[in-house]
Amino acid sequence: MNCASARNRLLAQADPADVPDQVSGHLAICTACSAWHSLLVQVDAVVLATPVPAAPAGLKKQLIEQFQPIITAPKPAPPAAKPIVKPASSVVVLAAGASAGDRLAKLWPVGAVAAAVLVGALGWVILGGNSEDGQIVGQPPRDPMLEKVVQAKVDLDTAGTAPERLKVLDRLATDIHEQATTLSMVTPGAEMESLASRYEKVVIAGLVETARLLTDEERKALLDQYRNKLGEAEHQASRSAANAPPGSAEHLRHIAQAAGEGKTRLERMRQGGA
Amino acid sequence: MTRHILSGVVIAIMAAAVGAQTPKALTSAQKGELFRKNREVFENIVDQTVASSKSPNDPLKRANTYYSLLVNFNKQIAASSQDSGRVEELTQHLKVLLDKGLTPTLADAKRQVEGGTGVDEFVDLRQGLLAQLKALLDVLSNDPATKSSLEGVKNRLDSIKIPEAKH
Repeated sequence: MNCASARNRLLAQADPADVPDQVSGHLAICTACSAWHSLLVQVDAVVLATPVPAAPAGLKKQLIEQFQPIITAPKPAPPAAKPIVKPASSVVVLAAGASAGDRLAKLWPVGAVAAAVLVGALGWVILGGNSEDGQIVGQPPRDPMLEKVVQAKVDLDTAGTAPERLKVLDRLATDIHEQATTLSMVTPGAEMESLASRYEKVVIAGLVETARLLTDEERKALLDQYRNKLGEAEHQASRSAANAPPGSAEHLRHIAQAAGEGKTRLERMRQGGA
Repeated sequence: MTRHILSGVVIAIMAAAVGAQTPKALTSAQKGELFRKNREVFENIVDQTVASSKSPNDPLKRANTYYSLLVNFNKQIAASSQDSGRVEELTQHLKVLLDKGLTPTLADAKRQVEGGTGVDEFVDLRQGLLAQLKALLDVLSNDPATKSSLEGVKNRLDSIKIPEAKH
């Protein structure tokens, strides 16, 4: 017998001083349980010796009345009372004069379950039905990057203005850069080369060339923002390259160089150059 | 009463927490694996997006970029015939590309050529796109649900009628 089962057996005794044979063997060899048993016997003795305080007159009666159904003679119930159960010889009713609030309060478990189901369903709909990557529960994982490039293609072809196209290309470049940063530790080599070359293409052949189509006003309003973002991307990619393994580091540096080149070209454009 | 209210609140919070549980986000390794599998598709879409950006005022050229996408998707879907999950994923992406990207672009291209040159190019492109789509539907003949999702797209593309050739 172990300590836990011995103590549980003692707690189950009406009188803890009355030790069963199986437990006494354990107490004989376990000093911790023996001390715990002594304490239990003392506590039990103190509880028994404690006098019961005198209750105010009528308290017992009031308490019992709260748990007793009202038994009425077989005569019409008072108007405010609503029969719930109708045995042959008596009628059990809710207390006459109980307010509607009190009656509703008795239904609280139903309300709690309904509220729980409602809140759970809302949580499922808002947060649970789909993961952050748009995965439906139970389906194999879907590639979030593929979803982003598909959306970029659609958005670019339906964009009506150069600033809108610029925004799409900037987002695509950012997504590719983030993907490269994420994968730099797990897929060095061909995957990183692919990401770096596409990043350069999107920035130099896409974003910078689209920026040339902006009006002077649009250049003033927008180019600083994109130049700064490219500067930040250059800095981040350089920093990531410093910690990346071989096979990834050179491609992160490629991304940094492309971002730097894009930044320089936008800067030149902003100053009125071609 | 307070005890009852508190009990209800606790149950509701626990139910919300359970209901809101989601599968964990993809790990870097999972993303890497998916990218490795989808790299060719990714490269093709990015290339064609950049190609589109070079023709902002020429919807016919932009519509032409979808021919390459369609050919590539056909190839990938045919090669993944044993992987129904991947076929479904690629088909859904293709449906988005064709429905939301190509259809409005082709409608713009139609308006562009109706008033001038480029009718022959439009006709050739439209026929080529529909032929590729038909070939894909043949590949998907064993997958009626996926096939039917693309048949609607084909019908919408088909409804962009060939303009009368001007003589």
